[in-house]
Amino acid sequence: MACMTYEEFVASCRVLLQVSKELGDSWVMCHSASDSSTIYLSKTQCFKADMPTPISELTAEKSESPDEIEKLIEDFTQEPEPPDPSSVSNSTPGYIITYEYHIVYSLSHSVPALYFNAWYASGKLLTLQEIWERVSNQFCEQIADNKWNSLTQTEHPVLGRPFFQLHPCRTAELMNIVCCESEQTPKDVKKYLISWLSMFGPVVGLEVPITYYNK
Amino acid sequence: MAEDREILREVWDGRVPVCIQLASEDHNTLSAPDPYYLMVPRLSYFPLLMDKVRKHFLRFISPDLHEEEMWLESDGMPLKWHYPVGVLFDLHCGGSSLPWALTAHFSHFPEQDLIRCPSREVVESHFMSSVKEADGLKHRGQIITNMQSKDHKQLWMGLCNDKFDQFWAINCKLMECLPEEGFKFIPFRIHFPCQPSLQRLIKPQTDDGRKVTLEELLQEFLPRGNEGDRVVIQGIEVPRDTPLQWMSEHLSHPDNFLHICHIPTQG
Repeated sequence: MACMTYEEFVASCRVLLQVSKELGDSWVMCHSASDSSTIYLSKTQCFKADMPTPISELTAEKSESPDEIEKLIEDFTQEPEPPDPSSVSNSTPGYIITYEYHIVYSLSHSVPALYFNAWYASGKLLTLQEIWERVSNQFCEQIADNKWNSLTQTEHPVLGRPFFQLHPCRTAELMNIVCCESEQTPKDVKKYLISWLSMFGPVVGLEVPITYYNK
Repeated sequence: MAEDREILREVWDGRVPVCIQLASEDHNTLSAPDPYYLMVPRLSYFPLLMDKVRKHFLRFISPDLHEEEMWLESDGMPLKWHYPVGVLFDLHCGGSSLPWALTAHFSHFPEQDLIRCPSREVVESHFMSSVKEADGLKHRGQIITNMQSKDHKQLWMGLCNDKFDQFWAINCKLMECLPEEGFKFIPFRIHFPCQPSLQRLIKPQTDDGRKVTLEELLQEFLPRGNEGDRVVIQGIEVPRDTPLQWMSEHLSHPDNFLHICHIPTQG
């Protein structure tokens, strides 16, 4: 089983942060308020609703200027009608949803776990139902078949607040397959977090650019 | 393997008295509705016990709140329903004045503090995921993964229907270990009245085979505790020299975690 200790997790986080910095990505390290030795990684990303491409990528080619981005955000900030859970989301184009992703260590399963929250511009959090509906097409069948055991709202282990979580209970098993196929040793700490993230992130809109592997 | 059945039974039968009032801002009648009194099992979860309470209050609230989720508050603190009733009672009431006075709300859901719970499935999913976590710590998850889904269901239904034998017929498998070794790690959480709970790794035995006690756990993870602080598990102050392995087998909640409440001295 491809598990990792907390120390390996921290080392792997530092590698991911370094690569993120080199590539101009926006991962940051956060510390627990009560115990500075407990860390997690965080990244915030805006999405235009019902569009899987993050806004930063939409604008990246044209210009990096913050004014442009702000204008774009302004354009998208219009709120939809109060969300109707039965409606399909493509009927309400033109607003943005902010995702905050956290990579946290799961002491119980000895693997990293992906937590996130998502909210509308008003600050209102998305519901679990809305989160399930926004799972990308490629994965929605897998999630839908087993949604109560794969993606639910739970307490963030460091912050103690509600967050959505991709369940980590099968992670070690999956990572074992990945490590075997890529002839990577399970202890190859450097690549572990990046391989893991490229597998779990896309389920909830977090793409890992291929350039992460070239570094 | 848990052997002291009498203790398991005693823990299972623990109940706390609660008195639930409707929040004044939520009732649309001139006078406040009667409060609802009930005895609730320590090991259960509030959303599993609130159907009648909800129904009782629905008559007194405005129709546009009828579909809203009901949430509970104790003395200004929203109650995290995803912890067992007994844990919340020990943290927020402790029996200082009985029954435990709670307020039911139908508006202003504190989404920054509480997990949404629109159905019992949410509770089941949360419960099973805690059991898996605990088994991850005790047996690297091997026992729970090898169980059939009907066994999972039996654990859950045993808890929901307050059926001790039904629950323990399965739970005893999760408590198995070699007596000379114990679990790999002891699944525990330390809870505080006003800050996030704490989870750490601890083994039930030292390398030379000595049993690790509650005292050692507290010294390692709560070094700054004060003299008069109380440490409460399942409503009792357990002797500090009790071995963790024994506690894990006998005083854990159905989610297989030892929930330890740290209650600081007043003032």
